[in-house]
Amino acid sequence: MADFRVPPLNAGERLYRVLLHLYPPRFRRAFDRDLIEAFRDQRREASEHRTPQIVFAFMVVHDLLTQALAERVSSMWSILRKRRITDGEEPLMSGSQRAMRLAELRYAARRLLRAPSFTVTTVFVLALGVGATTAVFSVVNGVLLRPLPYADPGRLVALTHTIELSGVPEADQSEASVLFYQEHAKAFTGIGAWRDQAVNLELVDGQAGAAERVEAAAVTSNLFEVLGIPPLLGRDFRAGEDRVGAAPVVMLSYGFWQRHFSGARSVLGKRIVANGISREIVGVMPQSFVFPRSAPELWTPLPLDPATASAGSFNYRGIGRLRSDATTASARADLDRVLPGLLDEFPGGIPRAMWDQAHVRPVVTPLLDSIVGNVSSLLWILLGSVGLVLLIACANVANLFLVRGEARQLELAVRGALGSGIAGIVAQCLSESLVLAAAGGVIGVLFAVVGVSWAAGWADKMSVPRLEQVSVDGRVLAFALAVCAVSTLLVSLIPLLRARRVPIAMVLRESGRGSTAGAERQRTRSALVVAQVALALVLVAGSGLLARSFTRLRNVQPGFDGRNVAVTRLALSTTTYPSGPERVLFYGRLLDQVRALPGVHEATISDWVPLTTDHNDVVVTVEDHPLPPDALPADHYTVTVDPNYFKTMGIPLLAGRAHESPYRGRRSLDVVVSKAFAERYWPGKGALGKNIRPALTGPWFAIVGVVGNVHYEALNKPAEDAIYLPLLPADSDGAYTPTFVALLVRTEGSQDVALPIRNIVHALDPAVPTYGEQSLSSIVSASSSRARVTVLLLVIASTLALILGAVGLYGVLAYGVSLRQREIGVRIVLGAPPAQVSWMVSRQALGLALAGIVIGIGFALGATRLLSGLLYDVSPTDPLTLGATCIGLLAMAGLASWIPARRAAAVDPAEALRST
Amino acid sequence: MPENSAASDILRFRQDAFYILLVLLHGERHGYAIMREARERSGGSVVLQAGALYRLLRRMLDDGLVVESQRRPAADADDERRRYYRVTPLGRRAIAAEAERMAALAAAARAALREGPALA
Repeated sequence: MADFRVPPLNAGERLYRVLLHLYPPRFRRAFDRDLIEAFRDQRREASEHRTPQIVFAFMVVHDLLTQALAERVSSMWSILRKRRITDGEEPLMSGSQRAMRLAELRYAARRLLRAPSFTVTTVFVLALGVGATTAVFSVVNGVLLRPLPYADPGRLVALTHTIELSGVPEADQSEASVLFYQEHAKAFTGIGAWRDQAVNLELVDGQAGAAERVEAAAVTSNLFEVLGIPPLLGRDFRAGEDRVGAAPVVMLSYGFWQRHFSGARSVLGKRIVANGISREIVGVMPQSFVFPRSAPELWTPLPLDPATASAGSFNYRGIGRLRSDATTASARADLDRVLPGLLDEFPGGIPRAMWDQAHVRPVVTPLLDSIVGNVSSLLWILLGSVGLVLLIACANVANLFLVRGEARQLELAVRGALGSGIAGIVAQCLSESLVLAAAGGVIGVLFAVVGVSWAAGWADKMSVPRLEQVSVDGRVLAFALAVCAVSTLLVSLIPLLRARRVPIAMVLRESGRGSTAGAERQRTRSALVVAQVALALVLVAGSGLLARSFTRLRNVQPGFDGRNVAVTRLALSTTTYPSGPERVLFYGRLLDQVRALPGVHEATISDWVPLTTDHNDVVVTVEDHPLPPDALPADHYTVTVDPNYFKTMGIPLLAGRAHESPYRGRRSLDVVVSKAFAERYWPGKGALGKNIRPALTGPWFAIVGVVGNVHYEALNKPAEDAIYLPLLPADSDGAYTPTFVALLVRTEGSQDVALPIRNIVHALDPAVPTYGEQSLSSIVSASSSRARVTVLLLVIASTLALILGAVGLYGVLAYGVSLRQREIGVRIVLGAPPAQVSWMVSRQALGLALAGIVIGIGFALGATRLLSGLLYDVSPTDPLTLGATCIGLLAMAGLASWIPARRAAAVDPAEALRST
Repeated sequence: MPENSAASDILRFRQDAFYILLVLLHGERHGYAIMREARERSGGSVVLQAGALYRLLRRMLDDGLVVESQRRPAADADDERRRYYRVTPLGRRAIAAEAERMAALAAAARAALREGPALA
């Protein structure tokens, strides 16, 4: 038996009744009783089923909000539809609805053309907003959203390891781990690996050219299959070709094929000689093929050797294709399951105790995430900033609409009185917005197309990956369209809502006298200005923090003197220079000749140019710091240098001396350490004469000198403890003498020595290529270019925000003064001094700005937290920056109020009072 | 028939609307009863909230598929405050047309599945 007692009117139902007002009036009048009945029924049912109240409340509110919104939208459409049927203002073209709609738009366009300054300003602001937002979005789209250009890219994963070694938090793959995973892992359809290595190209198809350094990658034979990209021509590598002793083959990139073979199809079967090995060309990759992370021009198979593969040298990037039923988590579990067996199969290379201590654990990351890395937060922040500028611009345009609406209020009211009704006004407003948005959108997309190349330019300066993917595609266009639609809606919504509230009598009365509805509109406009100030504050605070962080970063001393140092890289072939003494001989002769060049002060050789991607590290055993058995010593950066390195680089020698000269074939057990290294092991005591070795076993090296700290990795990381090894160490047969080195030359002024150096190298050995010529100072500034460009873009965005905010504030104040002319006139007549009248206006400006600041600070405290990863030595809530931001915004408000305030003081009372 | 095709255009995109009409084919109902019966008849797949139901009803009223009923069911089960709805002849035709369309679709799909290559 149903219970028909009416439950008491409780708080929930009262709230529901209030919320029903979200529905359009027509709908509410028709159904409110039924909705309330249904609400009671549902509540009774919910309590019978013991549904938690919060769940019930959520269901009801969700239903109410979504349905009310949908009903509002459709009622607006139906109003429009009815207007077309009832409103006889436009001649009916052919009776067809489409023609009528067109006529309406044409009429709107004509109206807009009669107000050119309004139209041009609105279209320009909209186009600028749409263009800038779309351009930044195109970068976000290309870098973050577009799938990688491989078959079924969602299943591709990067395979790495975490590792607990001091100084090295993560590791890639080793030869052994690749072979082992390929054999035992079950969650993958394929696992491949590669290693980037540039090669010296000597002969192409029997033709000797100038020696050329070519980016190449040594890959497992299945890598292209894992990526799912077949070659354009010929075949890719076959199973077994990536083993030691297999016939040497090579695949070409499209660019290499065009450059050296002019795209001839007869290229297959021809040979090139790279690094002293003659290789048969078996395939050419398509032009669209993009290799992950790097851009090699040649691919050679890795020479893997299961018999000697080392488990501990993580020099290969791993990539896997998940089986359709595997996830990254299950794949990781799979690798975790098999990994403990690795050393049983590949015992060489690393002692088991050390392996256990390193706690190597596999990591499976979606390939896209691993390529994009930490850039994503930066790009989203930039997109957010541009979006904020767009919002502020929209608020300005909305204000323009309000003013325009006011100017036409009389016309609209009369039309309303004559029976056009709300529908006509709404339709007019909307069709005007539509025309403006279409114009703004089209121009905006044009801006965006130009802006994309510009955006890609700065993204390149920030070393953003995947830039080749950035272009205007369907998704970018859809985004532009959405931005357009949303901004049009924002811009026309407020005037539209205002437009419904104007009783004809009031307007007619008002057009004669001053104002109550006018004051209400002024309140709306003030609210818009407060919002603008608040949004601008968020942007200004953000860019202020980044700028402050950037100046701190600029003040970081790199530890060397980067001025007037030219960098040239060269690479010796290990076949021509198989051992240390031969390499050192070459370097010695090279340095002698370079030093003899006019204008050259010093020259040196090093295998690690600071602040570049060069990197070497090694476990360092310290003699008087014995470790428990099987414990792994700490890892330290190693730089192999010529004795003149410190003098050339301007790194201060704090104690002792540099290495002995290796150029007479003297092998050395000298080592120089950085101050940080010395203080780490012998704090407060001298490090000279102590013994260390850059390996687990072998002879001890004696510390002969201590030098100043250098930032090798990055300026925003602490200066590292590093050890400097001699070019010809005595602990091996010279196998540690580097073949890839940088020649660093300090010159008198900033003259260009690249060409004479190239000539010297060519004269010594034409088969040794030189590359990577640049100045050390450009390397230093490039290392902070990401920060610099970010700061620059945010400063531009916040300047725009400030200007737009100031313009908005100015508009409201100026309009307010014009509304209050009579009142001001009366005040002046009653004896108010001009300063007091000015202050009245300025006070209003400061009041609005203060309101905006208070709201904005709240937002900013939340928003700047997002920046914390990008800040160096600055807190995201840095009080100094936030304080300066507030003062800056107040100053802006003062500036914006200046002209209106003066105008108010200059009001001629006689004129003002007569004009009524 | 243009009237019919217009009606099925309205229905084609809402399973919810279809079930509301199905419920009303069994007789006049008030809003809450429609919600409850639609849920039962659809085996729980159509769960209408009040707002969604009345929006659909509003549209179907506008389109002439349902009308508010003037007749009341048996006096003892009546609740004065409630409004009852019933299907119009146009609504009946619309639901018949929709059912035909779905039957044709289902037949085509079954045939294709029988003829197509074996999956396993």
